[in-house]
Amino acid sequence: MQIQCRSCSNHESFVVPLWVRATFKFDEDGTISILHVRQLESLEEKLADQGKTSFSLTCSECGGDAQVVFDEYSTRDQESREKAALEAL
Amino acid sequence: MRLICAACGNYVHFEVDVEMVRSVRSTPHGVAVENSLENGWDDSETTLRMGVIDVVDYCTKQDMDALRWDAESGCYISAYISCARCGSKRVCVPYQPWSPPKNHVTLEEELKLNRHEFQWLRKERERHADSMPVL
Repeated sequence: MQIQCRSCSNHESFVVPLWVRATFKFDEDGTISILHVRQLESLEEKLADQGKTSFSLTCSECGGDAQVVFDEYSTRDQESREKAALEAL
Repeated sequence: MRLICAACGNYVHFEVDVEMVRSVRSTPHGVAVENSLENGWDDSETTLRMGVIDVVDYCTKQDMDALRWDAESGCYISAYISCARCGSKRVCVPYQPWSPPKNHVTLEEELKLNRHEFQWLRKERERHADSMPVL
């Protein structure tokens, strides 16, 4: 699996919003303290649902939309096969 | 006391669902999810804290707008916050910010009582308006 930015050449660092359940308490002075944070969504499911839902996986460098390529090796194989076929011709 | 659970009386511990920004980094072994750091600033922590504060402030200020009618239980429940002790969503503000005092004066009477002060205020404003420099 590979994640690529559609706008720039970044393929390393990205940003995604995830829903979490935060347990908090009110202190005596009225401020809020976070006690616990539990993740409600799995990133794997979000990545797998790419294209079906808009979850806004964005590039951390340019802010553009990111693209998840699950079988990058197969596309490379196909390209190399096409290249070899052309060379053979 | 800013919020209270009508089911168990808890007014300290609550739960809320908020969105948190996380960083996804590609590594040779797969994908690593970690806090999003921008120039030493933890963006994940900030979005989480501000999300919780925003929801609490909204529920505290809007009160009835933050509640919705639940036909099953037959009562109003909070659309955003739940009790961390009993899990109930019957969370609301414990009191109205304004309550009538014992020597309550109606709004009409109060306006009549303050009529002279208001007239003085208007005159004062007009006097200052006349003394403004003319360009």
